[in-house]
Amino acid sequence: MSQSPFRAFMALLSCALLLSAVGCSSSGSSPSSPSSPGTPAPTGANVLAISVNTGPTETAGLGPYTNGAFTSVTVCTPGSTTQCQTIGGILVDSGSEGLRILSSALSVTLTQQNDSSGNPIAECAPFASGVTWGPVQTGDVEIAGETAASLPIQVIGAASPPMPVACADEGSTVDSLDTLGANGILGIGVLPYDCNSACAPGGTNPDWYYTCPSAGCQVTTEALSAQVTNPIVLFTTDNNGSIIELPSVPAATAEVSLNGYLVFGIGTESNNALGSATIYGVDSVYGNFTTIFEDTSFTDSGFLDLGSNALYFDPVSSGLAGTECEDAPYWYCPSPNATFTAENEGVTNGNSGTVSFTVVDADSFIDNSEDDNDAVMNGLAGPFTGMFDWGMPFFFGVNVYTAIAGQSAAGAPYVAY
Amino acid sequence: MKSILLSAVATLVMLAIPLPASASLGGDITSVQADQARLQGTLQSTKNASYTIEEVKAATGLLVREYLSANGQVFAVSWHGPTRPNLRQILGTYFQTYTQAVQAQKGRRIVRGPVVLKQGGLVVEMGGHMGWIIGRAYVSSMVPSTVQMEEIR
Repeated sequence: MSQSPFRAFMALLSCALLLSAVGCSSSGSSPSSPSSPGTPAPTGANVLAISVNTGPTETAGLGPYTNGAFTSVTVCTPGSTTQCQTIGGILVDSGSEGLRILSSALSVTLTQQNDSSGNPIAECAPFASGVTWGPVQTGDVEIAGETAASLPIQVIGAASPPMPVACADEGSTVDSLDTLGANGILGIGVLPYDCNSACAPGGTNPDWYYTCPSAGCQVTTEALSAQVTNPIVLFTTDNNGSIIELPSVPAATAEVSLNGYLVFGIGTESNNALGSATIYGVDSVYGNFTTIFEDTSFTDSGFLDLGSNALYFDPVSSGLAGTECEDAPYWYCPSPNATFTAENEGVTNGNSGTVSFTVVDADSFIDNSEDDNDAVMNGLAGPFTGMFDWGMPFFFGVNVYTAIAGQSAAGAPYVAY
Repeated sequence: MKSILLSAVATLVMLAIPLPASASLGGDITSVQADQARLQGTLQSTKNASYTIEEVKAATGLLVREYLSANGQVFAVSWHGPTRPNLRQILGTYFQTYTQAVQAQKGRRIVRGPVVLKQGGLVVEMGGHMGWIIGRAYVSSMVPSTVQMEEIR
């Protein structure tokens, strides 16, 4: 941990905790919650260690990652127990579904998925930060003690098939370690497949999947079971969701790293009971709930996303417009710190609860060169109009349950905390 | 703010006409019509004192709104739905500026999250998560002074 005197002062001065599901404490202690990470640490075949650290980009000399949780997965040639590779630096993302791996990080041979004419299938997967393009291939994937056999995954940045113009025209391509920021993405969101019924035959088809004969790739439909799939739903047990467990981080502080767990299943083992967590039902198409913030309702436009590195919300109603950092306009740099309360509401049930959080001057985390190895930043937030994105800082000190649509958890899809 | 928006909406003239649909930032109504065919959607036109919204629901499920000022210029575009829009088409002549901004954006920190790009008066915002992408683009100098930026969404 590195903490400047200024930050220590602000931590004492401000309403201490950066984010708490139950409100602000004046003690400066960790937030408490109905479902805060337990002690001792969870153990079992369904427990995956995750770590918020500077990631593979730092190792490669490309710069430190901020507020990203990384882990390792093992990928095998389908049917083989020897042709396997363990890949680290995989970003855990609750805002997407499916496993995606950079071609440059992959050395084991996977099985290309083809259409009925034998043409390879590839995908143009849209993220806010850009599209990932590449072939859909299947592999046997081991995550902690769980196995997803013949899992369709996306290989990003492969030499072929070439990216079609329509995909490139979506504007920004994420196809390398420095643009992706990770060796891959482990998407464990609230939906079972990445595109779901929209891309399946009979759906509206938002142009994610392509069939790629040598003459060039063309948009196609993709059956659900062939789509890049949330690995959890292919586990033989503990396949209805997960719990993200990260310890608390003191207010307005940055830390070098933070170790936590991704526990698979909800109510399937002795270590993954829902307990007294509040369920927020999300819509089954987008996976959103409602956030009410400063008298504005972001109806069906709020979400928890471990893969977003900060809290992102409206600059106008928060009064933070104009405090965007000069060298990083995607984050706020308020002075002094700004504290808020927002309310989350389930869209499929009537549950609601308030969340308090503090926004810290991002420059106080990042400008000091001695802090360059800090990966964990509590209080990082930035501007965005029309949604409420509860990114990484939300997850500090609160267990977050993600129940996948169509699986066995009662009331799914939902998030709970 | 919410109530102001609602009352504004109540005074709008609304037309629902089936048309193929979408336009380019900085273009005019002819660019709206020229681009409409590509989205293969339905067009709904909404007018208030300051501007006209041409709203296109594309076959892909993507909803695109184009904001035309009184002088007929597209000063802003917004979108939300299951995918990213074709930015080359929507940004028109500003697409090059956008790609330059993407290149220039690299900061000291590797991050993932919503993207806010500002370059030469062009602002492009892209957020949401997989399966639900929202965003908008505008050119600050073209936005009528009577328009509150939170109306563009």
